[in-house]
Amino acid sequence: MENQNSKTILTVPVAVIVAGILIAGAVFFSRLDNREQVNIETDKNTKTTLLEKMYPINEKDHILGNPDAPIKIVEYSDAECPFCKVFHNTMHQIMNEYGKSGQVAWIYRHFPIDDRHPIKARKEAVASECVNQIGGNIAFWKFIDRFFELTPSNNQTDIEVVIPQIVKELGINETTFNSCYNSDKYDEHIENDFQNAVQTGGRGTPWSIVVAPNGKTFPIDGAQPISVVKQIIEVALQEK
Amino acid sequence: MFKTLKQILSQIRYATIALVVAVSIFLIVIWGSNIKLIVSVFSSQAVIFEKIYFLFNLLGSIVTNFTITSAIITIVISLLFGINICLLIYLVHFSQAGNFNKINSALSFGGLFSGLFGIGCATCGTFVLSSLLGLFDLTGVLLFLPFKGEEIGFLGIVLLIFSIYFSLKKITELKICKL
Repeated sequence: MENQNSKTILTVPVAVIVAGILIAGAVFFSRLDNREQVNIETDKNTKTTLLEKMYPINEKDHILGNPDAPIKIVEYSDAECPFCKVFHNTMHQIMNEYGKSGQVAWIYRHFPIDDRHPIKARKEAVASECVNQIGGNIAFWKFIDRFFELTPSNNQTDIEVVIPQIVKELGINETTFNSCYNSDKYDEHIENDFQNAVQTGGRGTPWSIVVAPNGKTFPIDGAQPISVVKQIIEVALQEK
Repeated sequence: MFKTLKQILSQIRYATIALVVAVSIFLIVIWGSNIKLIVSVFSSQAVIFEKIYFLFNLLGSIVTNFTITSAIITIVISLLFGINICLLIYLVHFSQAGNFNKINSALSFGGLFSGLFGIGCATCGTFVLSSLLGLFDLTGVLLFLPFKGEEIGFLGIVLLIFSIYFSLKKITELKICKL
């Protein structure tokens, strides 16, 4: 009997805690809804969707493949994100299949998630920009490929070792590189990429936007399997 | 108690309910995290067959877009929630309306809520919880947690197991002729 009473006493606080969780959840969700409604309202006023806030592909972008390709995939990536590493390989497979025929162009932009990969992700983005400045677009892509190949992700990279190693492998002038790497020359460029990723709806990496020939956009959240990316391309190719 | 669970789940009606709910929760998590993409594809000029096939294709993201832990949490929570709902329906059916245990259902939905906060698409920075905390600039809170928010998913599993336990206890009591 005593045992049963103690159980009855326990059920009340348990119920209160659970109710609290549910109410907190409801409040969270209702506030989320409000935020979304505000955004939608803003979008209606400006007659743009979040994805249309993607800034146009320009001379600062790093493009692999035919720049005039009917399909453009703009990827916002973080060099320390393991899912970006997976998606990087997926994108190379896509480029092997669709890039050679000039159907797809891959545009790489920076989206360093500072909360998860403090300091390193941004420094790696700066390093890639400096390699691009000295060695050009091909060197940029080689740097990114090699970086994903060598590093363990999740902010575990020893950037003091890996970055100089790749720079050396690529035959980049180390003095010029170090001068660029230690400057704040590309901070604004990287921050602009980051802000644009957020403006277009990116909340994690990799965040990609597929642009069809008629301008219709398809957002890809995360490292989707190659079958999904291929199907999006096939669907986008029909949008003329 | 496991015998009671086995007995209930061996009935096709209740096994179907558990399975349908579990699959529904799983699909909500996978499709829900890709809802904008789904809307884009469904508003495209593609034929309907292609659009439906796309939904099935997206299920593969459980492999590429989730950590092993979050994929396991997603599947376990889906299954536990399915069993939970099945037991709650069993309870409603076989007990008087007044005996329906509100705490069980609260635990069940609490488990689902907390589970879903901790899972979702686990790409860098996109846990459901971190997205919500991000609205309040509180994502840094997650960095203090050893599993960066995945422990909320484990909390969901614990709540659901408690809920199943209480439901089974209640069902076992129903089968006893009280004085």
